[in-house]
Amino acid sequence: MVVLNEARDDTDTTLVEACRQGDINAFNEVVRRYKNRVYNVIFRFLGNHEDAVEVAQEVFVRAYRSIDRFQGEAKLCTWLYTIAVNLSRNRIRDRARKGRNLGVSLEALTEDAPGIAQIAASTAASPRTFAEQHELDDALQRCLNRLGETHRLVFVLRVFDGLSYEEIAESAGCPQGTVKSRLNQARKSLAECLKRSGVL
Amino acid sequence: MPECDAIREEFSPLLDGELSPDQQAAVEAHLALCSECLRELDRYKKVTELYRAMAPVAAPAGFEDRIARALRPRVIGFHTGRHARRRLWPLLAAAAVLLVCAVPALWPIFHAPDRADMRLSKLDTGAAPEDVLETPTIESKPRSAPMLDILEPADDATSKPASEKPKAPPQESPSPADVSQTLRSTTPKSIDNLALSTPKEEEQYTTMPKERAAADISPSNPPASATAVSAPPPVLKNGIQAEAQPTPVPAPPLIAKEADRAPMVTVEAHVGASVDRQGSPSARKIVANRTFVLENDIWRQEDYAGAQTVSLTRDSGQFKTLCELHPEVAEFAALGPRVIFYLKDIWYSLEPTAAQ
Repeated sequence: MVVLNEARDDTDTTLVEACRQGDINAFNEVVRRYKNRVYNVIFRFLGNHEDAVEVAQEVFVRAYRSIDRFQGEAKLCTWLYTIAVNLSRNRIRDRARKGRNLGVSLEALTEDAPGIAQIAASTAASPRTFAEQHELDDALQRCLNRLGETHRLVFVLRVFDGLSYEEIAESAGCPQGTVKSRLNQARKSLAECLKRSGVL
Repeated sequence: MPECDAIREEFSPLLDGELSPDQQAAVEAHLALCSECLRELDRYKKVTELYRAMAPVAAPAGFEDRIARALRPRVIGFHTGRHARRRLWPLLAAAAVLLVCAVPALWPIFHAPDRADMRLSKLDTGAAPEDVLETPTIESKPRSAPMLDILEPADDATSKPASEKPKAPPQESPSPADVSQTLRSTTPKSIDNLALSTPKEEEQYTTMPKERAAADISPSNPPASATAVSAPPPVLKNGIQAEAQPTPVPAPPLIAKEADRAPMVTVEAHVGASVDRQGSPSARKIVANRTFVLENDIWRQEDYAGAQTVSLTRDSGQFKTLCELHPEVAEFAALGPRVIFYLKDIWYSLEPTAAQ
């Protein structure tokens, strides 16, 4: 789970106000503050870095262009996730229309991320431990990819970023009761998938 | 059991701390009596822990720069768009006027193949190459001169009958290579060469006799005279004469200065890299300010000292991502099939694809 200092709402409000005045540095601060959280969620949702980079970039570009529409009733991060969810869904639909597989591959998990490569090159852990960890991550991501889009979305927002049910409902555009049932169903499906994969 | 199903619906809220104390107490009471539900809850808990233990994936390096680049046109458009557009109108109008004037002027040149034939026939009949070589004269004009003025010398050269031109001695008729070069420098392409003359043309300038150079420096001077026609044939920069010469002709200082600017030591490689020729087959290249050396068919960054590398294949997603985020990686990759380079605290070893 990404651990970052939770942005204070008043600070975010100040930043948003500065963005509205055309202060590009304020927007840079927004990007710096939320880029990892947004990227992590999008990557886990879409399952590959290629799409995640493009969608995450588009999230911030859209946010900048429509900053006037942010009313400040929700948290800034929730608003960003709402944009991220919509763009990610569009990406999934585009990929489906083009007949391209959106799922993550073993190669993508083991090779795509420079960060992972860096760990591989410098970590004190033994190569075996590293390989085992990636094997596990691969199995987890594969099961996650097999979830339906709506179930995967709520699970990712809850587990990887710790959003409350209320925030998830806002970002995903569904009632809290739906969030609860989807999360439950997601955990159940994942437990079955991981059991079949020999992880559980 | 219906009761178990209802209780299991509350497992996620229980694990996520979203149940009220009363609801939590009710679920826990059931779990104390139902070992099957307890096992199921344990599975849900393990699933959550496994996923939470996954390494977080941070945005790649350069992500902020990507966004800044993506936003740049928008920022300009948003803040200065109207002003920018206002400034653009005069330029667009000038470009339109220039286009309207230039097209009729250029039309005869592009659609009169007989003019090129005329030049050929002039050369065949012994016309001096200098009579047709108008490019130096054009080059000596001020660069701010209107295009139509610039075109005049070339037009004059092609419109005059061959008989009006001073004839050169038969022994000075140019070789086929010279004819080809002459055509290149007199056809409409020469219009584009006003600011950017090719090294070959610059080389040609160094071969001009002093008299001709002086005439070129002064645009008001009449076209090349018979004296210039009798000048010796080209002498290449390295001193090798194309044909037997009575006396070598030194290049005029102005022209020599132009020639000095020609890239003699370094050339631009196809990847935009600066390549050191050093007079021998290249084993050392500079790409994106980094020096690479070729050893055992591997281009390695010069300061690589055998550290552990992360292997990359050209068809891998990581390679594509790296190229996207760090465009210089594509330049490194263009060096050869195997390349070792350093990026963000990591030494990468780029390997060919499996097919290669």
